[in-house]
Amino acid sequence: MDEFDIGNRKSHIRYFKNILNVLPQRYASLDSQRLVIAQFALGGLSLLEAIDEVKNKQEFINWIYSLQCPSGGFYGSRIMKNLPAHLAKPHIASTFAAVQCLILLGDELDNIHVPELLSWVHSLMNPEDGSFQGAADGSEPTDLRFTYCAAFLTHLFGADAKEFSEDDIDNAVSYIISCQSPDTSFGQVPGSEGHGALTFCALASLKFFGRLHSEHGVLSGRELRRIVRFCVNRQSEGIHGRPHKPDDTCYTFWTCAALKLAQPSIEISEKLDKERVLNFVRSCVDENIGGIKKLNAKNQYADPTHSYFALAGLGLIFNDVIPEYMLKKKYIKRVLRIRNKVKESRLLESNEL
Amino acid sequence: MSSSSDDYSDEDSYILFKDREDWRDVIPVNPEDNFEHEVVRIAYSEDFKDCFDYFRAICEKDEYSERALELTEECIKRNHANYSVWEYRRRILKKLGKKLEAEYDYTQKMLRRHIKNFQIWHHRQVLCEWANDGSREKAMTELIFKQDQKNYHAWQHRQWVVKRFGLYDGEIDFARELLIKDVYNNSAWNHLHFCIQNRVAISDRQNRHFRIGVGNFSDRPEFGRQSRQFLSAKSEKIGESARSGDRRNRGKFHRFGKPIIINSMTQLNWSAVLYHVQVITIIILFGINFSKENFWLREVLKKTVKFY
Repeated sequence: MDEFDIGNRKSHIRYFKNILNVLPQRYASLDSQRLVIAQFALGGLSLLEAIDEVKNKQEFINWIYSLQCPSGGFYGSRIMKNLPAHLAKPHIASTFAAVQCLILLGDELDNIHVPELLSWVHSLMNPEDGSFQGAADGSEPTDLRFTYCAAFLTHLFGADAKEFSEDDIDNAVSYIISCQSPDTSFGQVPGSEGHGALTFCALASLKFFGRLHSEHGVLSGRELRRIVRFCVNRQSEGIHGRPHKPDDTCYTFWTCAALKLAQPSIEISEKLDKERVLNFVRSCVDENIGGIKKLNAKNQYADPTHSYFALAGLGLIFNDVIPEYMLKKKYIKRVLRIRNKVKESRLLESNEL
Repeated sequence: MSSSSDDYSDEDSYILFKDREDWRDVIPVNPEDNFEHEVVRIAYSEDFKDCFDYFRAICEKDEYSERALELTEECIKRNHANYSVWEYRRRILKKLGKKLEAEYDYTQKMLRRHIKNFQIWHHRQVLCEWANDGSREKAMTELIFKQDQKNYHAWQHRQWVVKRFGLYDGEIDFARELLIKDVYNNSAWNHLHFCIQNRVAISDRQNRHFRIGVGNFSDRPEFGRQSRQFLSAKSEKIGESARSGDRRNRGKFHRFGKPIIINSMTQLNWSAVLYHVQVITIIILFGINFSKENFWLREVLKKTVKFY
């Protein structure tokens, strides 16, 4: 792993720890997705090799499990959970965040209700076009980001044929392909403009579904090369997500991860100028409170999203992060072990039955 | 005591729900249930807690009333991303059978403040479905484009409206005008391609599909004509800029010494010849500028050239 240093390491650690503690009132609009914010903060600490700064790991784990819905999935916060059953809907992005947080905190995911979770994920799929909603009953509409969350969850928890048939996977994959823009990158819904983050979501989902660089691959070599070119063209100084948009630190992860997924054999630094990216991210560091801003502008402040994804992007460029999992390499062993364990225990259960 | 958020108007006259006479019958429900080990806590203001305690109470009562609608508005002011509040608001609107005019105005106001909020855009889409009417959406998205020319949600919404209600008329002109102002507007290029790809609705040919790459040549004159019109308009603009010494486009077009004069084209064969000349000229002259992002121009030109 190459080292990267954007300076102010201690202030970034302090920034992420403060997020895990208390956020000021002006962050009230993040109230429905506190689990996602927790994922960004924990992820940020893990990227800074400071996850052990979290002293109350077990309390944290308990809090996450308290947000689990008995019929599958996780709520973003207690405000979303403590509503009558007809209104309280767990969210797929919160579920993804919950699992990520638990992995980072060293939990073995034993207390996840796996069969309920998988059937809930399946229920979010629209059988007509293979898209995934964010939450049930249309309160959060379909979107390729949710396909990515679903793909990650079904891959990790080993959805078997009765929960997620080959037809279901083909259906989901056909939706992903329908979101492909003519310039070969992917948009949020069919017809949308190609976008770096959604290209990542598409490629990572295809990888989890086993349809990328495999015998059942759905993207040709030519398309993958064009995606690489799309991603490479997203660098000005830093990286942006769509042609002729300003650079934005969070695309350091999204676009580079899409690039790495499209062509895993190359080093990102062969295709992009990593020093320029590093300098751009450095210029966006918030000197006052730590963390990383979206842009290098005086009226901008650091926020959890950009702080996390900028660091994840640099981790990726410097070869320490696995793109589709959004995790450092050292966590992948645990992820694969958990995956095998879940698979074996479900096999045992079904044999017993 | 009250929040410092910009969203709140008439802060001094705001009354907490617990202090309102007409809410005396409702007992607020505290959500936190004293869970000791909260992480990522937010330092809620008193009015935030007040709103959501009453929201929970109203939901448990299953109340769908005008005052509940007002309550959802106050909750949304404090957290516009809470999808459960938006969902409940939709249920109230449905149960009360409210006319949607006021709701359209409300969502427009909210969208102008929070142009990247997924929940508000979804709410707007649902309203259009209910009313089976997308007639005001183009104007609404154009308001958003004034703030953010490339707003992803606005473009997506516009595409949805155009496809859902078949409102392709004028869309190619719209995209073209934007591209003439800023030829690097990738969202407009995508929209142009979307409209051509799905359906080119010329007033007397509403039912024809013009799919790129398929069909007979005789079925596709509109596409070719649109492309020619677009590129000729663009070339005219370039020429105009060069002639007038317009500094705005100087950086983009500074390599061009003289304007490109486009004759009006009436005959297909003659126009094809002129068009090829135009295409080759543009490719050469734009070649360096577009060396990185020439995908769209190449794509459109390729399809048109193929057409001939």
